[in-house]
Amino acid sequence: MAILVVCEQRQGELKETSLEAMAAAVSVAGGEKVHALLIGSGIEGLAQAVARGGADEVVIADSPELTCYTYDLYRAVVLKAVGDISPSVVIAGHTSQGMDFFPGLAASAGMPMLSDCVKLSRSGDGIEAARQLYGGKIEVRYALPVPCVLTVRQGAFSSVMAGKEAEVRKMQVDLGSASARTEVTGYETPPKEDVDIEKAKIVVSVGRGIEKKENLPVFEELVSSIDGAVLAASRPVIDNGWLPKGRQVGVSGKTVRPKLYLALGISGAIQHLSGMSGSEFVVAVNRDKDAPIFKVADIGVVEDIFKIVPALVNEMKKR
Amino acid sequence: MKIAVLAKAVPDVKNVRLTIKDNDIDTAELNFVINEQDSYALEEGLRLKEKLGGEVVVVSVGDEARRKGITQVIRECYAKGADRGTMLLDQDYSKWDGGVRAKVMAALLGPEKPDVVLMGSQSFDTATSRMGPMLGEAMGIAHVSLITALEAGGDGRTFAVSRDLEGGLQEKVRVSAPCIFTTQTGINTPRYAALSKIIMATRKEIKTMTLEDAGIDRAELEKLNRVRVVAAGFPEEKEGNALMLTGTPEEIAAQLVKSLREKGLLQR
Ligand SMILES: Cc1cc2nc3c(=O)[nH]c(=O)nc-3n(C[C@H](O)[C@H](O)[C@H](O)COP(=O)(O)OP(=O)(O)OC[C@H]3O[C@@H](n4cnc5c(N)ncnc54)[C@H](O)[C@@H]3O)c2cc1C
Ligand SMILES: Nc1ncnc2c1ncn2[C@@H]1O[C@H](COP(=O)(O)O)[C@@H](O)[C@H]1O
Repeated sequence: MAILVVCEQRQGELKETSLEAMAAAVSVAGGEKVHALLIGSGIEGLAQAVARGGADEVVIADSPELTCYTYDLYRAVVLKAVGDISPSVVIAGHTSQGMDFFPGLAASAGMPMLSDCVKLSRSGDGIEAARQLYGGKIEVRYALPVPCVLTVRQGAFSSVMAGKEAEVRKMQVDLGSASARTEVTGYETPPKEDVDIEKAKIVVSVGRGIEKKENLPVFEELVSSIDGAVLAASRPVIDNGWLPKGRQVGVSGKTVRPKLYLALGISGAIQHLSGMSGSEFVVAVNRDKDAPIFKVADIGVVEDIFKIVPALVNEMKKR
Repeated sequence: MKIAVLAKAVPDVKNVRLTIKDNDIDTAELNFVINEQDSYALEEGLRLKEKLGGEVVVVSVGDEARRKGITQVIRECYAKGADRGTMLLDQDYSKWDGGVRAKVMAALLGPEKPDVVLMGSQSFDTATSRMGPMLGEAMGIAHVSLITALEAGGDGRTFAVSRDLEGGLQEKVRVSAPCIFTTQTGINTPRYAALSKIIMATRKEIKTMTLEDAGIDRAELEKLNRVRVVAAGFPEEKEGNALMLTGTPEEIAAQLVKSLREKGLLQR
C-alpha cells in the first residue's frame, strides 16, 4: 500500500498547498510509502522542492499536452498512476484546480471522496476526516474506507521540510485515446489598482454587513481618521460592485499581512480567512457572536457595526 | 437549447443559535432558502435562454422535511423565468454521500438531455464542491467549475468561459455542449422576481418524483454510499481566544482605541 499526493503547479510554479497535502499524507502514511505526482511540461526542476516536502518518490508526468490543466488528460495521467501505485489514499489540495479535478477523478476511479478536510487520521482500516460545514460554524467527522480520495483545506496542515532524498522517476505518459474536452486558451491577471492593500499597515475591511453601497461613506470616514489605513473588503462587496476587485481580501483576491486588520461585518468564511490570517492583530466587529471571524480575532466586539464605527470615528477625533 | 439549473434548498442559519441533532444541525425550526450560489447559476441560465432561446428546467433533490423549502425555491425560479421544475424527495437523502447525490441527479437529468447544466460552485450547508465534476462523470459530459464569465457562440454549442483561480487570476477555457458549469458568485447580478410573478408562480405545477420514478435501484445506490458521519459538533476554540469587549458603543470604542494605542497599533 502507498499514499499518492497529486501536486499542483501552474506555469512552473509549485502550489504551497501541495506541500501541505504532502504533510497531511505523511501524517496518515503510517509507514506506507508516499509518492508525489507532478504533472505538466518542463517541470523536472520542481522535483526537488517536492522531495523536500517529504515524498519518498517523486513521479513526473511530463508532456507538452499537459502544459495546462485539462480535466480529461490529467485524469488519464492520475488514473494511470493510481493503477501503478495502488494507493490507499490519494491526497491533494482543495484549490480551484483541486475542486475541478478530484471529485470527478474519485467518481471515475470508483473511490469515495471528501473535499476540504481540516483534520485527517487513520482509524481502523480506514480514514477519519474532519471538515467544516455551514460557513465554518459546524465541524463534522467522517469515516471513509480505503482506497479513497481526500483534498485538504489550504493552510490547515503545515508543510514540513523533510530534507530527505527522494527517488525521482519519470512516468511514461501515454495519453492514448484520451482527448481533452476543455481547452485552456490563456490566463488573465487582475488589473492593477489604485491602492495596494497588500502593503498597508492597517487594513479596515468591510463585509456584506455594510448592506449597501450607500453605506460606504461611514466606513471611509473611519479609514480617513486612521493614519496609514486602507479600505478593503470581502468578496460579496466586490461581487456587488461596491468596491473594485483590487480591494478584495481572500483566496481569490489578495493576501494581506498588516499590523492591524479590522473586520467589520465579515462572517469569516475560510476563503476570506486565508487572505488575512497572517495579520499581526485582528479586531472583529460582528453582531453574530458565533461568527467564525471571532476564532481568529484578538479583540472581538459583538455589536452592530453601524453603532460601533461612528463611535470609533468620534474616539479617533478626540486627539 | 435545453438548460438545466440545479437549485438546492439550504437552511438559513443567519442570526440563529445552531444546535446539533442526529449528527447534523437541528433544522426543525429553520427556514430553507435557495443556496445563494445557485441564484447566480439560474441567472446565467435565464440569460442564455434569453439570448439563444430554449427552456430552463430547475431540478432539486431533498427529503420530505425539505419539501416546503424546495417548493419555495422552485417557485422563486419560476417567478424569475424558469419554465419547468422537478423535485425528487427521498427519506434517505440526508444520509447520502456526494457520489450518491450525483448519481441521483444524473438519473433525473439524463432523460432531459440538457445542452448545458448550470449550478453553484458549492452548497452553503455541506460546502463540498463535488456535484459538478461528479455529475460530469455520471452523465459522461465535460464540466468547468467556478466560472466568472460565460460567452456562448451563436449556435449555442461552443462556450468561452473564465474560471476563478487563486489570487484573482482567471483561466480562459473553451468547451462545447453538452457540458456542466459551476458558477462563482459575482458572475452576474441575479434579478429580482416581481411580486406579481411570485404570486403566479404558486399556481405553476412542480413535478415531484421518487427514486423509483427515476428508475434508480436503491440497493445499487447504497453500495456507493461509503462515507459515514461519525459525529458533528462545534469547531474547537483556538488557544488565546479573542478578548471580547462589552459596554455601550462609546465605551467599547474608547476601550478599543486605548488598547490599540497601547499596543502601538495606531500611529496617533
Ligand atoms: C472558490 C471560492 C473563492 C472565494 N474567494 C473569496 C475571497 O477571496 N474573499 C472572500 O472574502 N470570500 C471569498 N469567497 C466567498 C466566501 O465563501 C464567503 O461567501 C464570503 O467571504 C462571505 O463574505 P462576508 O463575510 O462579507 O458575508 P457573510 O458571510 O454574508 O457575512 C456577513 C456578516 O456580517 C454580519 N453582519 C450583518 N450586519 C451586521 C451589522 N449591522 N453589524 C455587525 N455585523 C453585521 C453578519 O452577522 C455576518 O456574519 C470565495 C468562495 C469560493 C467558493
Ligand atoms: N440536493 C441538491 N439539489 C439540487 N442541487 C444540488 C443539490 N446538491 C447540490 N446541488 C448543486 O450542486 C452545487 C454544488 O454543491 P456541493 O457539491 O454540495 O457543494 C450546488 O450549488 C447546487 O447547485
